[in-house]
Amino acid sequence: MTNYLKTLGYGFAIALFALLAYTAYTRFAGTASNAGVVGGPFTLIDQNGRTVTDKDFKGRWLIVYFGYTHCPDACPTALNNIGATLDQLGAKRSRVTPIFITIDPARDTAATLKSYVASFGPEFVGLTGSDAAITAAEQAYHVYAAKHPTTDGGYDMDHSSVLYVMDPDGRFVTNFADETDPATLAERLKSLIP
Amino acid sequence: MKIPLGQIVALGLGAALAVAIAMPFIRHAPAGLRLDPVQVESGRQVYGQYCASCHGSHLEGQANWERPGADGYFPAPPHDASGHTWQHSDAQLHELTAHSVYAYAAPGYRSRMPAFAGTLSDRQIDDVIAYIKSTWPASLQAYQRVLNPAGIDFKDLPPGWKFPPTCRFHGS
Ligand code: HEC
Repeated sequence: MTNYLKTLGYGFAIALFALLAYTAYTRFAGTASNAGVVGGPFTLIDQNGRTVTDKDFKGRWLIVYFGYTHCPDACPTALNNIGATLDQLGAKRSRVTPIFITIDPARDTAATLKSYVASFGPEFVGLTGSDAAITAAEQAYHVYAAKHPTTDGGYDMDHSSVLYVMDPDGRFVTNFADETDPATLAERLKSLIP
Repeated sequence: MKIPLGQIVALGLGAALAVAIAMPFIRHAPAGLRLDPVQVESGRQVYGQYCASCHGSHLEGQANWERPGADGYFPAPPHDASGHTWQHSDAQLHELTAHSVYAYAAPGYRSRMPAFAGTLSDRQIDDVIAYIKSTWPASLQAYQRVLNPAGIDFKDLPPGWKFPPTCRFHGS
């Protein structure tokens, strides 16, 4: 009889342990387990016409944003917010590179991007590339982007508008809605950057 | 070898006992992770009883919800993809349901959204929010998830998911 009780106890202990481990896993998995789910390698062209890859940004914290220069509101707002965030980072500013990746490579050439990104701050990088390279980057960052014809015969873009934070190893850390205010962003970044 | 049937039964009983005792405490998965089907089902019932009359049985909201009606009050917005419920964090949705919109409105603002704090328990409120979220496509769930402090777990979303096009053409 005591033998059965002992086994009952073992069963109890094993199941309890498994449940606790599972709970702990689901509770804490949220922070580190997203590396690889968002982001990845890319080969694009920067605002100076140079070919760059994700490896060129190793060692730097990145704020990545996808948009297009003809964008009437969300993109300039997001980029302004990033600029204002950098101003609040103090000494940690030098560790961060903001990157704007166009979803409209047909109109956003390197030259177009150069003057556009410069208006938001000196350290901004603008990236464009072939349609295939841009599509690959969009897929890696789960960005929706589609042309929307306008009555004047041109087009606008419907697109996801999200700020991504990548660590110095190029791993995804977290992301923010585009309307997140600079004070909140700066505070989160300061706590993330050691 | 003789199979120790009694021992296996005892082991199983012990395990079942542990599950029975521990389950009530871990039923609520932390916000932002996979939705708990038990919670979603409970929330569906809460929704039908307390929310559907205004927000619609298909979460479609009331007509012309984006403008105040003749009485000056805003109609009930949809909770599906066409509304903006998904633009609020879990904590904000809980607050909106428990105490109506006043925490986010200008002083003196009046709303038809009831405060459910005395009517529904905190758990029921979490359940109804989980139910509402369970009706969203992956893109909205992903977007809403990032608004939660620890809510960036995307692993359980289907492959090929995209963030919703929050920047949309709104010209002529
Ligand atoms: C009597 C009608 C009514 C009922 C019942 C009702 N609501 Fe509402 N709800 C409203 C109205 C009207 C608004 C818009 C409030 C405003 O803007 O003044 C609203 C707004 C909300 C919002 C904010 C949405 C947003 O995108 O900002 C949430 C969340 C919400 N309701 C959840 C619920 C839930 C959950 C229930 C059921 C437990 C519920 N409501 C039941 C009328 C109702």
